[in-house]
Amino acid sequence: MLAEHLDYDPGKFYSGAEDLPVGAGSIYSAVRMPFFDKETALYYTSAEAGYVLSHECDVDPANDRPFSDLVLICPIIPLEEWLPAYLEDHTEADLKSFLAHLGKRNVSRVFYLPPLPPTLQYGGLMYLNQITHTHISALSFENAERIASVTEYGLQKLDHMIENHLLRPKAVRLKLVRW
Amino acid sequence: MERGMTSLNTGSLPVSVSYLGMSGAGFEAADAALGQDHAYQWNVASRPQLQVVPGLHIVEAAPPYVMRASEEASFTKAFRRSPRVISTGELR
Repeated sequence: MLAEHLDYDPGKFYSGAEDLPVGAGSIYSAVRMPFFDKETALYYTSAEAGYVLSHECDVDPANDRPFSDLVLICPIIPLEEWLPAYLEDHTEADLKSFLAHLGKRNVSRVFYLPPLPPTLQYGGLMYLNQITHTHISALSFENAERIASVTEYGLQKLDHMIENHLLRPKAVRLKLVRW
Repeated sequence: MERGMTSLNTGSLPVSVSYLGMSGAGFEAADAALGQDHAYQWNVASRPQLQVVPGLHIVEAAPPYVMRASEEASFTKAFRRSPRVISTGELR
């Protein structure tokens, strides 16, 4: 269903990450990161697959400078884990419509990552409002394996979404001065 | 022309392209049409200093899909149920 509507080539999306520094475009299998729980109004910690957004220069240990200890990251939910939660409150027709729009990248806040087995057997979803941070050391914990990097092609697709989500022009004009 | 998109010939008048780039299909198409990376950021209506080249083929993307609150909540719910939750924290 998703593949039918996908407007980019999943075959060109990933590459190995072995010879690349840690930085934007890296995908990890299990990174400890915080999530806000509405029920308890507390944060909880989970080790989820994640997409690194921080630029490699900002997290390079060779760059001895302040403020290089935290990494911006977006959690990735495997498609098969998200589906049951979605279907609790939506019909199959809703799902088909949502997936079709997702494949065409009409959903500005969510990006569908193509399959990356075994972590993302059927692909995964990045909900851009869940972009968060973690400590750089969390990328070295047990199970936090760097499983891939996106290609230049994949990075372009993702950057378009992120840039549009975070930097699109404001809907209202701001005042030029304070008073 | 890609599905869900329309084209317009702008002539020499600035045009509103506020939908430009709001959907994924529009991104590459807009870049290609304008011959420049990240052209999708342009919102000519709000940036009058940007002049549209007469006759330039502008691509207007379809409006984005508007997510419902329940759709947004499905992500929170799915992560909360993840078997990979390590700690739920506690109040002091």
